[in-house]
Amino acid sequence: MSQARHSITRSIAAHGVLILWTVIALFPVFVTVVNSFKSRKAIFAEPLALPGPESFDLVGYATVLKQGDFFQYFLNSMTVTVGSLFFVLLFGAMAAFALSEYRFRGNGLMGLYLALGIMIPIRLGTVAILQMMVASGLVNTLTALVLVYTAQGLPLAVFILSEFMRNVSADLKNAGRIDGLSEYTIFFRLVLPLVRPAMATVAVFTLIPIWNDLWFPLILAPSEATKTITLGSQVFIGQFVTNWNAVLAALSLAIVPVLILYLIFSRQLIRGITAGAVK
Amino acid sequence: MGALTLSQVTKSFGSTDVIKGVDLRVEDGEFCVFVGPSGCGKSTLLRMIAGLEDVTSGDVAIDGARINDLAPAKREIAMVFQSYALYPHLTVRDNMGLALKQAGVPKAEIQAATDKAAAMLSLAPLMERRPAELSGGQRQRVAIGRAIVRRPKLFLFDEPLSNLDAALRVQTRIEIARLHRDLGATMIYVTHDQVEAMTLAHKIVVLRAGKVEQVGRPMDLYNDPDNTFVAGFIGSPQMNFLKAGALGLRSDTLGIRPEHLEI
Repeated sequence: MSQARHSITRSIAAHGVLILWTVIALFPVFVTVVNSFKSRKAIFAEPLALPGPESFDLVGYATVLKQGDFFQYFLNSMTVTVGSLFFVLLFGAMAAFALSEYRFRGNGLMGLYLALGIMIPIRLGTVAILQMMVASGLVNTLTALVLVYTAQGLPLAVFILSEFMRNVSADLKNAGRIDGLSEYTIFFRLVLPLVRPAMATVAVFTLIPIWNDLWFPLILAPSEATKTITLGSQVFIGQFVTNWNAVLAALSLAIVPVLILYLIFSRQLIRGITAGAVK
Repeated sequence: MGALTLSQVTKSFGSTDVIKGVDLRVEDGEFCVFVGPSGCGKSTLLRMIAGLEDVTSGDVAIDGARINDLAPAKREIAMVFQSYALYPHLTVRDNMGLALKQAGVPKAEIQAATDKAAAMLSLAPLMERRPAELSGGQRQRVAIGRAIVRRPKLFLFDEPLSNLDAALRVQTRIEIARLHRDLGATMIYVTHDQVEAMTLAHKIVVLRAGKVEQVGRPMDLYNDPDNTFVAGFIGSPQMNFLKAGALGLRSDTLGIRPEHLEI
């Protein structure tokens, strides 16, 4: 074991693989960002070249900022993502706590039912969801999107969090009960901080599909006031002509907020792991 | 102030009966130890007294008042857990004072109570630390301190020493005995270690498969066991059992303690 740990060749090989993987993973992002700073001609002439003095062009960003209300789109995406994330984590954690903590009839069945959503894509129900939203007058509202995404994110959240909550020391919860803490205090003050790494994981897994989703905004909330950033970027993609500068610029801009959210959660994740002080 | 009575207490999980009708009286100020092999229901019984498990039938009463349906926090008990169960996000002081804070006791009083408990357990220099910064023995002392601060009618210990190393175990055992002397409170202590039981207890309750086999003072159990189970369970090395018929005696089994044999 210690041989392997000290071997330089092995360490180089491991890092080589990791670096290769990083390059592959980052390549599309790199191309998108680099080309968003180039003129249209330069994008097609040399897609992989870095923007030079003559190819550097901010026309994409200018178009994006001029055309459409991009700030509003950003705000919509943010509202929907953060809102859904909040509800997924809150309700997911609460359901997980109930499933893992209380003995009641049908507990196992309920857990299975709540986790079933992982296997059934929510998009199969699009027509029914649309009918429901029309009936309740929620079409073209951000509320509709938040509701749908909350439903979409809950199964995975419940599944992961209930597994983690089962591992939280029962003695700790019982000590809280003897000290007179309410079940809510036990949940919020004792259990949630201990499953924070799991919460961060769930947050990241929930966040990214919601931010990137095109399907539900297109169907449920395509109005100008409720467009999300992914939907907003589509105006530059036409059937015959695509404004690549603008598309790339819009996509580059769209990466920033999700990146910030990710960094926040991943820091939580690391802190959660290092602060492990259960025993 | 703190006599516990169990009358015909039972507990079932579904169709499995875990506790099968236990009658027991623990007098005020007594140190009572539950012993038994693992799975005999001793921890379950303790958790029923604490209110962490429902009682299926029968009555649990402290000082004559039935507490079956009272929430754990309202029973005026304190419990020390095997895994310490300290709140990881609170300092030692806050860990010890939380129950009082929940009960709405004024800050100055909490401070005084925690300081007093800290002095008894020599925890004073550690008061501002978090559980993660303490050693196992220190954590267990904090857990005991948390119990003392509440001035409960009844102390419940659930195998408090199992996670400590041998040297600390002896030391903490002495400390618990001293605490019992100083506080004069009723204590119920669950263990599977008969050395702990024999050294600490006024009264030992031997349990097997959810039933009380015998209740009595340690030496009474040792010298006058009611049945072969108690005779075999108490005492180390174990009592030797012989078929009485082989010696020409009329009863079933003959037990001889190793120290009564001479070669």
